[in-house]
Amino acid sequence: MNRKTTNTLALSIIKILSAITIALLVIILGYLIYRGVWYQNQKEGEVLPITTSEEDFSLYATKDTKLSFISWYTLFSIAKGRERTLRTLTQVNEKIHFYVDPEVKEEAEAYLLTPIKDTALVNKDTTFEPKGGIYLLKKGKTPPHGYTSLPLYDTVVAVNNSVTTLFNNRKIGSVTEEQVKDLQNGTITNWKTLGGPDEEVTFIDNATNAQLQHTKGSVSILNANVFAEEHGIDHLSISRVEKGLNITWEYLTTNAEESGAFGGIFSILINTLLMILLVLFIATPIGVGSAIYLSMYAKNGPFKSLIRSGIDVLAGVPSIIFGLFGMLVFVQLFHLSFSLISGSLTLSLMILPTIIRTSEESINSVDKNTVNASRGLGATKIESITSIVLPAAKKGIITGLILAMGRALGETAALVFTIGSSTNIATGLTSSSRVLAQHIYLTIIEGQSIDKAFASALILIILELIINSIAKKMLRGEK
Amino acid sequence: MKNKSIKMRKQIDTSSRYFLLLCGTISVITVLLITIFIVQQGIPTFQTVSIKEFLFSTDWSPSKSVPHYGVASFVIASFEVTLLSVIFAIPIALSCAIYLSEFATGNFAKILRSGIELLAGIPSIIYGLFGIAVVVPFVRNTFGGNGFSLLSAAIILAIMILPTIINFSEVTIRSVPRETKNASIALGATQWQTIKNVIIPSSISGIVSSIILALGRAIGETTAVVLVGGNAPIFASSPIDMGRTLTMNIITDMSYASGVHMSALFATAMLLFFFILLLNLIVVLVTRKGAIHE
Repeated sequence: MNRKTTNTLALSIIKILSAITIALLVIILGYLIYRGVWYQNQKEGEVLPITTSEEDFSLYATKDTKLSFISWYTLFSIAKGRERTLRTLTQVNEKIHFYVDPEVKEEAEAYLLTPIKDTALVNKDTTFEPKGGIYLLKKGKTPPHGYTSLPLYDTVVAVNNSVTTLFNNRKIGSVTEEQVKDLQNGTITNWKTLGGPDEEVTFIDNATNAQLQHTKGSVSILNANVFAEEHGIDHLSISRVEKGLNITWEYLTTNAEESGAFGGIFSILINTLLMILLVLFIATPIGVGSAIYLSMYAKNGPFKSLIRSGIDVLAGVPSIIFGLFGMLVFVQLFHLSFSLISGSLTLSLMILPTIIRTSEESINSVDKNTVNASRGLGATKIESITSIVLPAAKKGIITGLILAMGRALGETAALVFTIGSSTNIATGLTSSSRVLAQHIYLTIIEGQSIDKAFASALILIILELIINSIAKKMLRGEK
Repeated sequence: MKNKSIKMRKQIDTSSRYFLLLCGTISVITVLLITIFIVQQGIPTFQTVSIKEFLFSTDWSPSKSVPHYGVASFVIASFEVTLLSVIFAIPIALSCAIYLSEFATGNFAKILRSGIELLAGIPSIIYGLFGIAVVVPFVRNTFGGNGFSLLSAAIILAIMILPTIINFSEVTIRSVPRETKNASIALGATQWQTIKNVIIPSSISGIVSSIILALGRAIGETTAVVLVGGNAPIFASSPIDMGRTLTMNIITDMSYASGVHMSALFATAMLLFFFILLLNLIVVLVTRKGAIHE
């Protein structure tokens, strides 16, 4: 290969590898935005999203329940009094009020296989609970104010036990609606196709117990209330994909509950803000003071280089070690407990090098002659510094503080053993609290909700981007 | 200011001098205190566990009836992850540094520069989350295993340390005098030959220190690796196995440890701190050597 080709090749490789960096960034940010804004989960349920029974009633619910449908099984447990709140259904923290039109009492009892309590029997004209209401009303009647139609799904895919038995340590998983259709119209002829045992598919319309029990590999689409009474027959769970918005106004404005499994992040955002303010309040005077000392007071020599290497080493100390140190000193030695103040003190030490370095740089760039002039006019050194040097270096110092803020905002490991984990808004300096980055960590580690972790992560990255761009703008303005 | 007496102004000046001196020394004091506290908590480990067992045994079983505290597998995992990440990062990072310092004109360079700034600004927890959702499945599908592995951790770390290597290398590459480069070109060398034979050799000490700084960042990283590394306290025989690094050991066990187990974790932190200090020292030596050469 001649030199020219080698040159072109090598330069192209350099350019391609550089482009990879951009590609990585685009992938990371793009993926984060995608997962942060939308969620798309595979959920398993017991029923197909269709209604096969023809009853003399329809179902209505209030809007705040956020129910988009209800399955026969859920309605069954509500009627039985087992399901009392909406929490496990739609994450709404509201009691369920279940009402039945007296005119359809018998039908409802037969359909739900449960006696309806007298307290649930309510005429349409009486007053209703405005929240959490589910109303079973005779068909054709207009529902009360605030109630909208709620689809009721009650169709089960019943199968012979042979389909769902464990074989070779494997078991048939859930099936999708399309796969059920394929079973019905004969496209799928063997359960192997769905990851089940090597058994032929026999689809029976409206099968009876006996038929399902005695035909190996048989499957039928049945009504849940018919099926519920049967034994010895199994049913397949149906998987469906649930899509929706991850970040909503509500997510930002409600408090986190039960370690972040429910609710939003309002309390966590407030705690984060409090922590950042505290950290800046503690670290700014020390950091800027240190920078002033280094550039205005310290003489070149071993003492100054000692301080300088101290800053270098401190900048390289891993955050987990800061966390341990904070735990030993602030939490245990000073008895500050796992609290906002312990966490903030730990972070303050951690961001000191950032503040010192940027502040020192911008103080050094101030023309020393102006200081001498000020001294010559009779001002003391500290007076010259506060009235001449600091105003001139203000922009650089603030930029450093903003950068340090960005670092504090994204920190996790130093906070895990210092700041506590309460999801409530901190009521005092010594109250346990959690902040955004650490909240993401805890939500993942505790297995609460990966969707919520992504939503919080998107908020965190947006805050970081805002901070970075402000710092960048200020730096450019300075030049 | 006018109302204050000269004596008072002098007093303020002197006391502020002492305050600033205190501020100036706080970094050194913090480093000393960190060392003292970690060592003080870590040393009691060796009353029950021999140093030899601690350093060279791969058996970490603090909850057994006869507990063992050997961190050898974590040390090896830490080195493995760190070295792998640097190996992954070097080609990309050096290309970026060379591109930015030698050909940096036009929009692409601008985009590249802000891209690197953004990468540096992404918090480690977000890298971890990205790792769980993207890198772990990728490793699972490409190399087998369950995806939570030292390899996944190394890939995430490689992305995280890119800005460190790029920024520091770029500065040193830029500092190679223009005349030297021009001389090489004038002698008929191609751009690539100039890069290979002139620019890289003369900025090698800066490049090496940037890599060592990156090693320090990688070995101390905790949250991102704990989410993707598998965190199994056993010896990982291959990079696609689950493993546990020193930092993962500290953050995982600290939440429930007590007694000897607790001080063994501080001893782990001691070891980590020792490695970091060692890397710092090497950076100082390399830069000094580079300075002498120049």
